[in-house]
Amino acid sequence: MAIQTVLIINKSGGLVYQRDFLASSTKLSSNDYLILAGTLQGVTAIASQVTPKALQISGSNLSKAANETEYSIPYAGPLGVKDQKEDMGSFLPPDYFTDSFASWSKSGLKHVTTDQFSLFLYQSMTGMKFVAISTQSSTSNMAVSFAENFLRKAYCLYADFVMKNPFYEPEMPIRCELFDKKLTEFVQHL
Amino acid sequence: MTQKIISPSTSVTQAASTASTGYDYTIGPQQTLPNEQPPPVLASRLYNESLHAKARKAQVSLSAFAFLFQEMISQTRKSSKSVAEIESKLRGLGYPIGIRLLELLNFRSSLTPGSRAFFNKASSMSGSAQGSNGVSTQQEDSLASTITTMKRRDLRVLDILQFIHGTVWQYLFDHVSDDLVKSSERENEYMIIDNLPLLTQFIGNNNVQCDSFVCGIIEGILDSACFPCSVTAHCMPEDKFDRRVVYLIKFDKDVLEREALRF
Amino acid sequence: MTIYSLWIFDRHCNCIFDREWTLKSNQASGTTNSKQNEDTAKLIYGMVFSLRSIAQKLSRNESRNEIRTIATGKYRAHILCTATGLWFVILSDLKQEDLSHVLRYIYSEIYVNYVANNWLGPIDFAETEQEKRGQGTRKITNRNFVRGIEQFLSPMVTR
Repeated sequence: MAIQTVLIINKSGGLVYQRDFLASSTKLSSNDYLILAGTLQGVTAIASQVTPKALQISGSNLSKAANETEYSIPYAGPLGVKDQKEDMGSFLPPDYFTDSFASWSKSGLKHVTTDQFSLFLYQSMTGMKFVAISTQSSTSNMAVSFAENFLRKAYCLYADFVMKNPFYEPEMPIRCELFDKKLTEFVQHL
Repeated sequence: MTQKIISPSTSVTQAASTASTGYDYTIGPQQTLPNEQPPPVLASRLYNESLHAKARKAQVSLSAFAFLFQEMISQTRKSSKSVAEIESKLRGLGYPIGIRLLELLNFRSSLTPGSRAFFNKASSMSGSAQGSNGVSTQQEDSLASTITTMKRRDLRVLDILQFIHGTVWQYLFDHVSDDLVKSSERENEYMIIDNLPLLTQFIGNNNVQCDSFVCGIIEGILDSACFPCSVTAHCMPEDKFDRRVVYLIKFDKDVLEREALRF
Repeated sequence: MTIYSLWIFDRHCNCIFDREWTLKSNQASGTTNSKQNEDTAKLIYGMVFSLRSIAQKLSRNESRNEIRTIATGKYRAHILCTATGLWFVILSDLKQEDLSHVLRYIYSEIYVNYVANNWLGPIDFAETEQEKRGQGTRKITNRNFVRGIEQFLSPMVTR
């Protein structure tokens, strides 16, 4: 599974970051990417609206604990992060985190597969969306949890190298050299 | 030297780790002790840890400090018109810290193993007798009484630079600086090199040199130690250290003249 | 294995068949071609349409890049788009990783047999201009088709 593109969408649906990692990937105009980001934002909202009735009925009966286990994402290994202190930013070695975690997006869009690629979406608690497009069309649940782990680490990088940069204006397009570099390193080590 | 300077920004407890971790801006790097029993006091440890028993386990999150530092830079940026002005303001923020550090670290170097006992006693007393203004006023409990000889002031350029390179860096960033070099071209220039600057590790290379804050600290130390100089920071990536920073220290002429007289 | 609902859309963006099971334990429960589901059908159509256009845009070459599944935190939608512009959508739980074979069977064995090959029933469900612009409400009411769907999918609802 190779990551083709990473997008970051802010909480109002604007595209703040877009980066292609493969030379062969399609070149869309920046306007197309903006539309894509807006569409994804809308679809995420719609997806939670069309939850089947069967789930709405049974969901209210389920105990809270059962619900929580359902949404926790298993930890999928270090994902090629080097065991080096300087790569960790403000997170503790030897990995950013080593346990399963709860997904913030309980009913929103997570994963789309088509004939040619898969699209994964990780939503943070604040409504930031991290999108990864991989070159393989995979429907397995393993791939989804793997991608969620990957995107969560991208979120960690974002927290370190974008939010702690005094020259970054929140909600604006990300132009942080260090973030670019770290993300590229991370994707290449997958 | 251990390079473990990362403070927790996650909720993972530090208790499991036995090595030195954490960087506290106001208290300095702390040694986390593997067990509750205080080990035999070694004189060398007094250089780099806080003596106050209560402060031993207090740590500041690196993230929290990074956000504070970020806000410092944003504030100076908003109130400044030019890049040079931002840098000189950051320098101004670091300068008083340098003056204080020189005093504190020199004083700390003078303490003897006996002084630790003083702090241990004081903290246990204040715990039992709070509200009655209980921290002792008796003369025999004075900290000064435990000090036998004060550390002598650094008079030579190399001595004070060693002090910054070792003691100060250890105190601020929990590792000694990576190199201390004398310029081959000019007599009055020295360089302190840090491969992984702690404060600016999240800030990319910008036209604003955020390490000016550290320049201010160094300048403050050297100035108050009577080595007037100017310090500038330069980003010089090398190999895998892409954020390597070189602090260039230019001493004033009279420092060198005085240095020549000393022999 | 749980299936929540089946939706069929024609090339005029109309929902021409919907079947939703509301109780996992009871395979006869739920609604067929319900009026109440009109809004949900439109939302599902919109969701698939948007993601389908994204997929087309991101396609690497000239070949068609059709969307297969959409997963959220709670359910997964499986989609089959045919050359004639029909969409078959099944909503299932997350354990179903790929139901494309089920969708293909519904299309080739049930839809083609009972709707396309049925000379007495309509093949295009939009009759007026307005209905061709997504306002249509006509559904497949063919009894053989409904029975075929029930027989094929019901075992998957409760299992």
